[in-house]
Amino acid sequence: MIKRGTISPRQVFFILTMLLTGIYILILPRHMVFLTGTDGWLVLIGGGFVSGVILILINKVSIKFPGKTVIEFAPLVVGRLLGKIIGGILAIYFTLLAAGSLRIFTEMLKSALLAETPRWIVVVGLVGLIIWIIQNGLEDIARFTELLAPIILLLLIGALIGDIRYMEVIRLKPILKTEPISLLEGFISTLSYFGVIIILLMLYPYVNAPEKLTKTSLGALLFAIVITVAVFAGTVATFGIYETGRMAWPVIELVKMVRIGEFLERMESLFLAVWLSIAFINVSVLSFCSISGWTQLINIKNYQKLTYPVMFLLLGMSLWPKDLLAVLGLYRINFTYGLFISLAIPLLLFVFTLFSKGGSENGHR
Amino acid sequence: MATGKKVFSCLIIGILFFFPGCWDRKEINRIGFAVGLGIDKDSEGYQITTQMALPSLLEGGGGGEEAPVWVVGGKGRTIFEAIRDVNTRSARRPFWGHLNVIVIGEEVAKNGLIPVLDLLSRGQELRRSNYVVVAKGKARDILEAEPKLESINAIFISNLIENRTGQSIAPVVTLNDLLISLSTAGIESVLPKIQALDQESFLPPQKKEEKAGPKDEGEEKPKQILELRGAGIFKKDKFVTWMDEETTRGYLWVKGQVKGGIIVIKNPAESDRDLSLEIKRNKSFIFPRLENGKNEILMKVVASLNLVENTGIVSVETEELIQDLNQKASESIKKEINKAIKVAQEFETDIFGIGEKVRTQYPELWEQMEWSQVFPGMDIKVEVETVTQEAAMTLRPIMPPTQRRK
Repeated sequence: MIKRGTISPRQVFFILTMLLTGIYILILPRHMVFLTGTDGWLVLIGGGFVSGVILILINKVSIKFPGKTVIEFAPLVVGRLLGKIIGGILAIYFTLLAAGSLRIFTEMLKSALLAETPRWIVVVGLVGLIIWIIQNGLEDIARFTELLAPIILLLLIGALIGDIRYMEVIRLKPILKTEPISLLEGFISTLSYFGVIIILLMLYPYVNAPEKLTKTSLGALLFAIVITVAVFAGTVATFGIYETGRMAWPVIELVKMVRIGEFLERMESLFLAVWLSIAFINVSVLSFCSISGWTQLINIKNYQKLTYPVMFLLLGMSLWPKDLLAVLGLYRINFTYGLFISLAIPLLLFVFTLFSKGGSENGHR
Repeated sequence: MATGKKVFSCLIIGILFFFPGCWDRKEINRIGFAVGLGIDKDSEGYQITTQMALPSLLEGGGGGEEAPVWVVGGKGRTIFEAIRDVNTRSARRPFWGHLNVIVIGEEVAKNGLIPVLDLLSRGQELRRSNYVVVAKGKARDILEAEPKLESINAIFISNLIENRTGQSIAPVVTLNDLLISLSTAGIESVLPKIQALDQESFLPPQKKEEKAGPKDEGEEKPKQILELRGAGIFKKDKFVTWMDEETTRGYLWVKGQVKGGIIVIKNPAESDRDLSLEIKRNKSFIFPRLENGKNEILMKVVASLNLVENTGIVSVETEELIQDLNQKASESIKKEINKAIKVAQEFETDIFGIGEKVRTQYPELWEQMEWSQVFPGMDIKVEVETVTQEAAMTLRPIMPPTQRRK
């Protein structure tokens, strides 16, 4: 068994902000610009708000089953079969997200820095490292995150500040002139984007002070919304919506333009090195959740045994799509249908816990 | 088992340590730093000129006679083919991460920028913060010129562009600005004009005639003067005309980009003497007014000036005279702006980005109109507000004793 109750709420805060502003933010501006044009930032705020409500539900549900992850308590709430199905969906979802982050990061690295290096070198290298840290448990990942996240976040904010000289507000106008149907589609995408917070359902039992988590996780979400909106608005204000839509990696292009004062410029190598740590944190947390999810789903005592098969699966999955366009195409599926997981599962669990009071008390004992 | 594991981890660590850096290594002694890029057109495609810095000569403390840059070119049907063609002449692979300036030849500008820019905006090494200028004549002549003070010509050009206390008679345009103005509806592109000359453009051209004589026939000497004055304006991605210095500043007033420069006006109290006003700051606003079928654009320009030179003898420090002076300065600015508006409307290209304002303010109206046809007929009103301060260590002009009243 993995030791429980060992990570602090502050570590969860950094894990969540890293997940929410880490890898998928690389492709978010481009996707949002396609759907919502200049209104993207409004849609992001809206989506973030709704995700906040979901987050409260997640916390309400989790607090009723102390010491249990969603995969363990779902059968108690909604019945054995449905509970196992939900657990299975979540375990698959986390695996897919982990594979997706790994591949998106690799693609970014390939197009921005290591053009000639085969993908598998980067992927295998990272997976090797991640297998090692996962063997040591969540606590190590959490500590590593706590150490690096503040630096990473400061650098991200620094990049935005360093680009202010290129930004023009008129590029963010007009406001609310997009077609409602596209706005709705964009809104759904933001729900999937912020929907990564359902990972909290898996993290709850590992935290030493779960009663503080509602506040912490809401804080993390709020912070992530601010950064995401700032990155989106900053990208569009710097490049305009047409150029943003043209770029493969708007955020990296933003970083490449950074110039502070007259001498601090051409800093993208530093940022790419930082993003390597972001990718490492993201993929580690997601794979950890996926591995522990599988372990609990099929009731194995020792999760270490499952590490290798799951990580090899993940490796295969992340190397499978042919090129960047294929990866983006696959990820669009999550942008469109992700809300059936991120919205529906917490809602379902919450409704069931409300109606089956007895079940929840059983959980306590 | 335990030793096996240890060996395995050592192996993994070794692989992780050495492998990831190997494929894309760029040894500093295998690459040449391209600092300038010029693009010209020929009958079959493009000719590019790169200016490569030779670091060894730069470090050597002025390595004697030899210039620390080397100008080398290539040709091809596309820019990329031309860039790769350079590799057949250069022993070091050009590295584009330290590019300073992109010079676009006049012919290329006339044929359209988009085919040229695509590669430049895609490359992983190239940055969007590179400056872009358009050459009068061939881009190659600009990069081959040998101006003084800066041993690397491309750095000379980017210093010219960045010279913010200068005259504000040429816009500062980065690759990013250019790409945005090309892709945004309701704004057209403007690029600064650069020209290579044998001598300063204001000197009489007789010296040139002398040179054109038979004695110089064999070899052409590289030009010594590079001038960054005026601008070329574009319609879509095609060059249409040059703007002279005054017109360019008129354009920059409207863009709020006048960061320096001088206005010379007559002393309001002494009409045969001139005053120099130094421009300190400039702001601008564009207000489209299209309600109820109106067809009006209001441009509001605010400028703060310093009085720095009075060639006359009458001081202008009274409230009234300062007012007069502001009035005159405003008129002078207005004249420049109107010149720019005239050029823009004549060539039907909305360089000011008025269309962008219209699009964001009246999105429904915008959908219905064809801006490039509406713009030339727009009634553009200009309002200029100036604030003048007398700043310097002297408050009064020089006054000969015979003119003194007291």
